[in-house]
Amino acid sequence: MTESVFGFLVAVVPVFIASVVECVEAWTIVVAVGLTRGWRAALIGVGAALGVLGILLAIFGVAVVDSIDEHLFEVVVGTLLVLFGLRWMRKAILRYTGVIPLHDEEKAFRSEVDELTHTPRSVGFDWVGFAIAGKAMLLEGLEITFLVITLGASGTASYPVAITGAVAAFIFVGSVGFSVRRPLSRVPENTLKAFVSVMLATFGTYWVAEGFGVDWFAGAWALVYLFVAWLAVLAGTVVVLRSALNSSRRTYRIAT
Amino acid sequence: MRVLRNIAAAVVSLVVDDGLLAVAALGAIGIVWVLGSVGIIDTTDLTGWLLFSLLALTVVVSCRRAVNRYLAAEETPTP
Repeated sequence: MTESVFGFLVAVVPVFIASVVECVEAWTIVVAVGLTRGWRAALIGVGAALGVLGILLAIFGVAVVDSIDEHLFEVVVGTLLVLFGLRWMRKAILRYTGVIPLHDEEKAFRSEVDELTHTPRSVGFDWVGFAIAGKAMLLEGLEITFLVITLGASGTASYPVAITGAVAAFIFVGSVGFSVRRPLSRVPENTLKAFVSVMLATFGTYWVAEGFGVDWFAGAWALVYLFVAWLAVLAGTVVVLRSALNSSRRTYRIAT
Repeated sequence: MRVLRNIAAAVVSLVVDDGLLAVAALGAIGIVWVLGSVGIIDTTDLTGWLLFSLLALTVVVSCRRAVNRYLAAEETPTP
């Protein structure tokens, strides 16, 4: 029972949250295309990208599940999740430290609109709008596909659960986005991304170790204490680096 | 072909942002695997914590490097 609840949560929660973040980012570009060049090309572009992502999901998802034995599978999936999670965590830490700017959808939207209004329009179907909206959905959707394949295929969780998480996020962001016809800048993207990075690092560490034959204390509950540990790493690193940054700036100011 | 190359580049960039972070994380996993397979460490959850510690170290070091680079750029006088 506990295993199946964990399996469900593992597959659906990170996929849903990460998909919301990615869909919000894609929506910023799609709404910019829709408002400046028309919705037809933008929506056909999104549809085409979803088709490509569906094909990738069908090919690689089934291939990953069917062809690898359980321990190797845990190591491979865990390693990919570790790499993906640490990449997001590094970005989150640097954002909260102030080294790279926080992601701002409103700013991204204005810059996209500015660029699109200066791009000449061709006669007939707007291939530029199609390509820009499609590319945005494809690139952001690749991250979602990756998570659906890895998290959906791990443990007792299954693809349908992970896919449901991604589809629910797509419908949620799409319906809210369409009702306001603006970028969804009030979604706390940076916080959500940091949260997902901690979850991915947790699952990655857990599965790699399981793949090596480690028996975690308290079984699947190890995910809870690993989550707390990774959260402490993220928060602690932000605090330490912020103070290092400030003290270095103070020293530099005094010196000059 | 260009579209496929772009997709391949996007897939690689999903897991590799700071190249050194990815290499160090793979190195950490490799070290734990080698230590486990030659029997130096056992399969208690201490091994899991060793993996966690090495991975956490790679993130901290990678972020510290980024902060150092940022400070160096900030403190370099612009002509």
